[in-house]
Amino acid sequence: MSPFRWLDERLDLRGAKRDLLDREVPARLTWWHTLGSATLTVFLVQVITGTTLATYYSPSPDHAYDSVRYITEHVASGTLLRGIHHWGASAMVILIVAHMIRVFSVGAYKYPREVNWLLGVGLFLVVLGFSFTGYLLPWDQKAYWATAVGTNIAGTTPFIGGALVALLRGGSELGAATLARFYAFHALWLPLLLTVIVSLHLITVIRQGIAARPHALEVGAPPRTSDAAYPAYYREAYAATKRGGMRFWPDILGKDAIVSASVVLLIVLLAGLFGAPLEAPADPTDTSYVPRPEWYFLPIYQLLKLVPGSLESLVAVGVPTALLFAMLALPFFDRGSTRNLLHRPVALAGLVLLLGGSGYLIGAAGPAPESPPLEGPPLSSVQRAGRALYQSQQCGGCHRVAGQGGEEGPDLTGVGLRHSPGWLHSFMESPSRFHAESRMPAYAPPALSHQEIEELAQYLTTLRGRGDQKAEFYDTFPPPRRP
Amino acid sequence: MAGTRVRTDGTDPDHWIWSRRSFLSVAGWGAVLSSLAVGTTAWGRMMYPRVLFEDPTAFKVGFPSEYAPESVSDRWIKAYRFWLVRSGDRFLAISAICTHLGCNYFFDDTEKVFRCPCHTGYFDIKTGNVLGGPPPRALDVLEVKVSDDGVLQARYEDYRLGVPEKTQV
Repeated sequence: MSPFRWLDERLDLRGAKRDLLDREVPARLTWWHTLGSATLTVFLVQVITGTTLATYYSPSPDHAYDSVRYITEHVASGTLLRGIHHWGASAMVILIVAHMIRVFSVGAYKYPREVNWLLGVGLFLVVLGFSFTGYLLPWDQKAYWATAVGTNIAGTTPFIGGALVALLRGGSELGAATLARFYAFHALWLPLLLTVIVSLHLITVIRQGIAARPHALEVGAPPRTSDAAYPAYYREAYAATKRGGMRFWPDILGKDAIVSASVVLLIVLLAGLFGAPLEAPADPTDTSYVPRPEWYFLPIYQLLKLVPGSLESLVAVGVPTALLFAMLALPFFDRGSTRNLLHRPVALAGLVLLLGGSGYLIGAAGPAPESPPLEGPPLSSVQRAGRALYQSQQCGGCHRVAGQGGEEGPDLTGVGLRHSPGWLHSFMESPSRFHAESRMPAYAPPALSHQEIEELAQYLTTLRGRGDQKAEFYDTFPPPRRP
Repeated sequence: MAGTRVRTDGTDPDHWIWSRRSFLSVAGWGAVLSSLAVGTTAWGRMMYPRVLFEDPTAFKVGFPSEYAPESVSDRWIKAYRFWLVRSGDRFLAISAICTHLGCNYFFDDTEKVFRCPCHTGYFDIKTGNVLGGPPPRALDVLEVKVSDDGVLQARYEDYRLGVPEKTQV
């Protein structure tokens, strides 16, 4: 007996195929009907790339940035992997919005699909939650400031603002607790939630069937879906649309596969061409950085510039909340049986206003300003610790770097080009061993620990002038000390 | 047969709220729902970590003579996140966090204002007052005084952002 027959006898695989793949679907479904399945496909891509990224990622402020840099620079295909996850996130937002517009335009949220519309709104919120929480994880400047501003916006909510910020940040400041909970939400809670809602969404589609083209459900329909005669009319009219002999497989799934594959291909292409951005590490005290949110949050960003602060929470919290309630209330208030968007002037005007307004605001926000080029490659956490020591030990009191600092000691602007970290470490321990006349204090323990000296040395090696020269060490060490 | 018994007084034991069967059912559902409610409440509380808020800190920022007249110093930004402004003999420590949504603003040297790059708010450097843009209130001015040994002393405090009133967190 073949393995298939053996399984079929027990699990009724043929029956499953009959119910799922061979089911009849309404005739003349369009390419626009593939947007939902494309969203699902991109979600699967995000799950696979995301779990792979999580294998290397470390959700703590000390290591997050370095682990993301490690993925980019050292993991095989790491750049591509991050790129796919990054572009996949944008693709998911675009596809889910397009899918919602399609459903809205053909009135597919009306009887009997009100519940599935609500599930869809839930999925939309979860996807926005994904992008908000995922944004922080690289812990670079963009991540830090987008989250700082985002959580502060939540903080302007009347009455519950304070509690909301505390919930999002896990404390009053944005820090380790925030990163840990954002990671947990991004990689555990939200995927779980999304999987549950997607399952319900799909089960409902299978049970109710795919929504037919609007015209087929309008001819001879009672004027309102709440009319007593409507359910019977709908059953009749919907059954009639299925008589075209179209099957879920291959008529629908074929189109779905073509669109999904093209979308994935496009994402991989964008990832290969542009990768994913990674800015300088998060620095809460940097006053030169200009924060800017991801493009799909630009409408609210631009709107915030235009309204006075007293209306802050009204716009930043009120407008999205009002939109959400409008979406939730939609199927219960719009009970006209007309489904074609062109015959629904109010709905059409609302959609045009919303899309036009968002488009206008994105355009008004303009393209992102050229971010200033990084001065050399971004620093690792050890090098950053060294830089902090350089400041706290007042090295700049005697040494000059790029025109800043004292003039007593040698200029350190290009010191990384001339000396290895090993030499720098030994030198700082006891400068007088190297140059008898050196006036620099010895930093060997107990002045600094060996780890601190090494951090300083690692920082100094990053000082390489304008970065266009090749390092050439000429380290000379003094003879070893006699015991 | 269950459910069809009739008592001698004519009442149906299954159609009374405290019949054995419905009592067990009500108690069962009650137990399930109330434990769900307790669990959810506990979970909600668990999402709020127990944190201690740091007391406002006072610290020394050097002698008045270290700051040139009419100067705006970024010396304490890295350590304590405030700008130190000297205008005449007055010293002003201004929290470096924009009162709008918490970005770091910068000192615009040509127009002598503090400018926030996020949503284009800008402030007077001598008072911290809003000159334009969306910020809901003036920048948070921190207390500065000269202590007994002639050293300037500032106090660091945190205030709620994005609201018109200056309330400490």
